[in-house]
Amino acid sequence: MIDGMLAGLMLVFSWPTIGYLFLGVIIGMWVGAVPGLGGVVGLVLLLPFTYSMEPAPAFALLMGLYAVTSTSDTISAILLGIPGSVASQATILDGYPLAKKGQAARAFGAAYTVSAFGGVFGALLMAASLPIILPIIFAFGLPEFLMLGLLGLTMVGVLSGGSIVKGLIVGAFGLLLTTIGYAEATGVPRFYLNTEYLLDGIPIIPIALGLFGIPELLEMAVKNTSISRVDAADTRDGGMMRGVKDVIVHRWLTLRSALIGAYVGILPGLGGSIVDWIAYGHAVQSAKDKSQFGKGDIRGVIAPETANNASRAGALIPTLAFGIPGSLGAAILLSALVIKGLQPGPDMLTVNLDLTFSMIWDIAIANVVAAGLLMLLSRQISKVAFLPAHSVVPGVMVVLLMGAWVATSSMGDWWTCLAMGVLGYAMKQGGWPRPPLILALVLGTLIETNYQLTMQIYDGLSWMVQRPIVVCIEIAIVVTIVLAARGITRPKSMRAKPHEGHGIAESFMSLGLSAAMLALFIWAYVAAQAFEDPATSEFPVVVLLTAIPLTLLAFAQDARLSVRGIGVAGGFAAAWTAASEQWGLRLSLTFFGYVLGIVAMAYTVGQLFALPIFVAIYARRWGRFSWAASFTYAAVCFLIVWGLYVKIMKLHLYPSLLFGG
Amino acid sequence: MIRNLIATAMIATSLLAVQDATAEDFYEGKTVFVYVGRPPGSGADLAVRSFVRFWQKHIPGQPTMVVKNVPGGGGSRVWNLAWDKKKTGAVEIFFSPVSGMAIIVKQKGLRADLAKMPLLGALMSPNMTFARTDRLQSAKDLPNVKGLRFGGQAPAHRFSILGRLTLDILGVEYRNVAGFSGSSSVFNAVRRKEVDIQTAPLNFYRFTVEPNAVESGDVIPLWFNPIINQSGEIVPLPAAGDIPSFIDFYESINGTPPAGELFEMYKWLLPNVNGIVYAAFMPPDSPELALQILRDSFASVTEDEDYRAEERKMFGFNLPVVSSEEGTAIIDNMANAPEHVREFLQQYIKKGR
Repeated sequence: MIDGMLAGLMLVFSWPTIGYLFLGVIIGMWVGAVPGLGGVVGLVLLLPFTYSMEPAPAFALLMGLYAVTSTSDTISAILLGIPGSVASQATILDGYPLAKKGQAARAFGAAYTVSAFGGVFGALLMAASLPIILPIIFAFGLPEFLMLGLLGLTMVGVLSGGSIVKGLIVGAFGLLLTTIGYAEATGVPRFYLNTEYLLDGIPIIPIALGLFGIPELLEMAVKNTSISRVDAADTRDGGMMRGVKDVIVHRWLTLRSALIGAYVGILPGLGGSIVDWIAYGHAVQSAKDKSQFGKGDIRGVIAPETANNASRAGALIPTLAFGIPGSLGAAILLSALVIKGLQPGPDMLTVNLDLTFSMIWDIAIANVVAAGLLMLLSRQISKVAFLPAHSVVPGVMVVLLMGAWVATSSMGDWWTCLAMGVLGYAMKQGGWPRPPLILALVLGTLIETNYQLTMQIYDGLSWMVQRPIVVCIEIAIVVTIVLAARGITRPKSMRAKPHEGHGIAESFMSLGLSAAMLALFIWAYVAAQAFEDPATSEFPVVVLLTAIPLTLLAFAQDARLSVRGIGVAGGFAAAWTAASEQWGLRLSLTFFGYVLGIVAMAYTVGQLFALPIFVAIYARRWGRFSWAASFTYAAVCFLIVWGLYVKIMKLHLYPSLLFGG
Repeated sequence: MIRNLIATAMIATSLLAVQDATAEDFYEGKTVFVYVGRPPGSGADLAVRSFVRFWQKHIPGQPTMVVKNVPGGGGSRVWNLAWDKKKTGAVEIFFSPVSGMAIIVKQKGLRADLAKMPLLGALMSPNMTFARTDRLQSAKDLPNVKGLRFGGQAPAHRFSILGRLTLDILGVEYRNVAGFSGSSSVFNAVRRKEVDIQTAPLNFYRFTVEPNAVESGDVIPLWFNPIINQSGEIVPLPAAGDIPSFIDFYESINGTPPAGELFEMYKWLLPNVNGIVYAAFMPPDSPELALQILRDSFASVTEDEDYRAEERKMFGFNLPVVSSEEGTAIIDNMANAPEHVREFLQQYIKKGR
């Protein structure tokens, strides 16, 4: 074992392997930082270059990229409130509020320090745990995966702010969205509205970018504020080194989160999706003072960022040692292994042990290098938080829409992004939590598949009481809900306060959302009755039967608060006027008009021209930039779309009416 | 109107260009996109990417070839995309697994008529069935073991249909567990003792099952589904090694060759659904010169010793090749499947849910 570790280390530090590792790290930092790209896109781009390389440098290049995307995706999570990937969702909850307080550099300092620690710790822990990993993996059968998925969803629903009821409704809505398209168990299409785009379900990237990105950009545009709501001069105590010191103060939380990340990460298909939430939940539950969670508590950054980097090595081991890829990224690495003529399995732990260890070392070293480089850059990056809104909004909108386009390169991606932008805006104004929707989308198919398979394989529901791990997870779910309901676990800052600050604007928007959700759920329930096979309709029906009563409850609460608000305002007209002002309705509609304009222009002249035209018009009309500055900004965006997305990524743009494909 | 004029002008220009071009300079300096309807990292993605690496060297002018993944619609989206490119003059390749079942039962979502799209060439991917050893000591015990669980993907998936058909022909009492997301997921369930029998690609067996479960004695191979050509002859499959074909397996257990309605269906499916897997098409109305160049170069890759060596490294054997003529006949057969075959499959798929 020791010989293998040393031989692996020698492989990594031989030339050109170490050079390729650094190259992979640089590219990984870049694809991780651009919303919508991420590790999978990066691996696909690099894969062809590795065909003719020796295994060690080839894997150094790929692992360098794979290891660090979850470090650099923190940039958009903290600065823009947009999850760069699934792994950075939980970071938004406290990272973005820290940026708003002008403490982005502090959040970056903490995030990069723990990312480096998590990556190295996870890699070493996995190396030491090789002999016991197989029994752990196989102790988790279909029922355990099902319950773990539910636990992840419960934690997000309960911990991500707003009321528990609304968190659970949003989770149910997300699960319902995952039932669109072909059902895994029967191959029968559901809820697809005779639209080909929906046949295989809605891709998650346009949803995440629309749901989180568009509302934040809208708020910046409407309020004309920078990301930070305080001046740079007032943030002297929020620097990068303070973030590093925070990690030392919370060293035990860091260590526990790394353990959670490494061991949950080895569960194929599930680990990487929920690991940050489990770590975040642990940070909240173990904290004595929970009052700052959701408002910018540094522990809310430390826990998920440690865990998601620690999970990378954990996810690699089942792929290498047992041929079990747990994610799309791992599947690509597996295919790279096969292209090299290497067999995943016992050989990777015996004859090719040095190569296996070299990959683990790749992960550890890549994490340290990326964290160091990002530390050097973070002072500059965090200055983005203090830039005027109008100089940030158009550029980020271009990156956001092109990120959505990467999903399937069809206009459906943009419509989804736009629809989710409207929904995200309504949820933000109505005080509804957004993270449960994304996690439900990640876990939905997995939960349904494991549910269907469990019910086919295990007779009845005896598995719920006969399998010890299942029972433990059930207890964890119940405890999470009960403690949250009693206000013990959930931080005070996240609890609904019906009487304080629950303005009429929030009540009206929340009421509208409850009504819309209720109508959607009832329609879906009726539609589900028409499915022929029980296996096709069973899961959506179970979700809807849970969601409908919860939505009725939320609707009743919102109606009561709205009526009370109308009374306080002195009538509906006055209440509506107050709400409209609070929403910034006129400017918000103008903003959505701009986004619709981009889509309409894309149909006409194509994205390559539509996006720069939007940038120029926005900068000139809304941002009051000079003509020269507006055109320069537009030209830079044109070059980014053309150079990055068309030339490097070879994306096909929409065949427009005027210019074709 | 403007769009139509521009499109007409573009097509006319491209057709003129095609007429003037020779095989040598047709692709020179061009970028050819190759679409695969499965996600990156999947078996199909791997097969296509490795083929394409060699393909570009065999095309006169050596164009740049870029593989793009367009998964979705249960594998139909890529074919619909190809269908929508008809009459655009686009010189693009669509190289992806063909779902014969989707063609035969006219699956919802598959708008493309593959029988009307020009085929460049195709590869087969043989498949086989294996079982856990804790439920049966040897393959011969299979018909006597009760309550076995057969794990498969969607009920209309090729492996689900072939696996169930073979078990039904043998008269095995089993429970069908459908809905796994891929061969790896089913195999995980096999290793966790949640299912007992699985049908999977032969290369998956060689690369994943054999080293991880056969060598440890947890799993034994049962049979492979033979490759039958359009003349009804069994094509030898050296890659199967000692594993018997299903027909030999049946005979070794029952002493007589298999017969009956189910076996007739199996025999019909083998040369069709199992006869073509990774197929490379171009959109309808693609330029004739482009077609000819790509057909010739496709055939030439399959004879390239370097490619064949690479294929053996990745799959453990060489994937059997299907010429464009043979493949077109297979696609035609499936598109015009007899009504009784279509009805049988529709019912059989329904029963598997």
